[in-house]
Amino acid sequence: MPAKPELTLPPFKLAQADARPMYEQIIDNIKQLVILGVWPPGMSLPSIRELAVSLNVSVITVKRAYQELDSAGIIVTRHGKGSFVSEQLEQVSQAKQIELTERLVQAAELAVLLNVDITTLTEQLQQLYKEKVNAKQ
Amino acid sequence: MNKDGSLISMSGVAKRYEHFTMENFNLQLSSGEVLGLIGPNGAGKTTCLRLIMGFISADQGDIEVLGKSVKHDIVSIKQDVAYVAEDMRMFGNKTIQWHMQFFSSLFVNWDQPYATELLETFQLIPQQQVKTLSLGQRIKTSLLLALARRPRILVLDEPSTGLDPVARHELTSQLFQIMLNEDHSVIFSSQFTQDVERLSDRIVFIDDGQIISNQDKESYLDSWKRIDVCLEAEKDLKAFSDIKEVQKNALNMSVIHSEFNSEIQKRYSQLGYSIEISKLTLEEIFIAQTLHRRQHLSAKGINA
Repeated sequence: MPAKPELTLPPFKLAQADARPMYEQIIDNIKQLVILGVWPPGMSLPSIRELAVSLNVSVITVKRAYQELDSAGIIVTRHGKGSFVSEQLEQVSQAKQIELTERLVQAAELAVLLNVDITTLTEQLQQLYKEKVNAKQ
Repeated sequence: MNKDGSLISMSGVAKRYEHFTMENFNLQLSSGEVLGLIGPNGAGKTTCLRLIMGFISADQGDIEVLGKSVKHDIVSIKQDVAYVAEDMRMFGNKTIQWHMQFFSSLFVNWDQPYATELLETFQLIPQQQVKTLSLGQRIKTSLLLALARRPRILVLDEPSTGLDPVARHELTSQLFQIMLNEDHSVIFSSQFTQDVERLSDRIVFIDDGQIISNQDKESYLDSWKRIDVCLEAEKDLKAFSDIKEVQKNALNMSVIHSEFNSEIQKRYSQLGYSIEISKLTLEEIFIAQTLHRRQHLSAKGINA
């Protein structure tokens, strides 16, 4: 019996019932890990096969996810050596910025939907921001 | 390995029965790949797998497995290829334990610790006689005997039929473990589209002895989309050649495309329609594909 891969993976959120294809869900999970720095620049990613087996998805699914992450510049694949989190921070910070914008868009949409005016929204954001900064110190 | 690098290669294969014909059938299985065969009953899935195993011989064409011809070298091929189907023959008066010993004497790669682990996983009692096993237990026993051989190629014909959901889940987990080894491949047929969707790297859809599609799973699933669009769009649907199903309801209609891409998306917006795109499960694709083919064949006057 080949030993189960000893991968200590951060929890991936994957759902068969999700409206997005499985490879997109894997892309999103990995992007999150990279953006939040759980997977730091230069870190070596699990091999495609290892990740597929530990997530119980097929090899082609992970391969597709890695290919798209590679063309987005989030990871770098070196032939015969595997894949690594990109050290070109520009790409990563760009991804961070996009992620932040996306979440702000969601917040803005919800605020409009709930008729929350811009002043209240801004005040709320400032308050939350201060709390987080204080918590970090 | 075959000359083209594949583990299994069927080229130009024909097999004719009175009520079933397979013509010019071409299929390859690559190293490290899990290939799922789907198709309606009587499509030719079992015929395809039995041809690979040399249980039946092709009327025409070549079948190579691990670089050897099935016609001439089937005995040595079988050392590295394991097969499981519902109708596996075992010795009724002998126990599971006896079969394990028997297999370990026949197959050089037999992995006894793994066999013992599988007994536990499948909740089988080694001292039990095969004739007293339930259908599900028989299938689990066949699977155990096949898996513990550590074959290069595992050929499974409807392995999950007759298994309860837990056993099906255990089987799926074992198949995922096989994937760790990139020299090992699996080809299987199943009516459980969920299992096929989860496990396969490539999906081959067969109907009427023909391969209707053969694509890597992600591209295949990606190319099928359901489009929700207003009822007025009906008059413009002839602009698309890949529509497999149209369902109308009171307010709008659902259109299933089999080759959806950004061009088609653009076309809708050029025509002035706003659309909502959703993905389909393999089950939905299977049904749409099969029903579409039937309508198409009966429209041509062929009794499918």
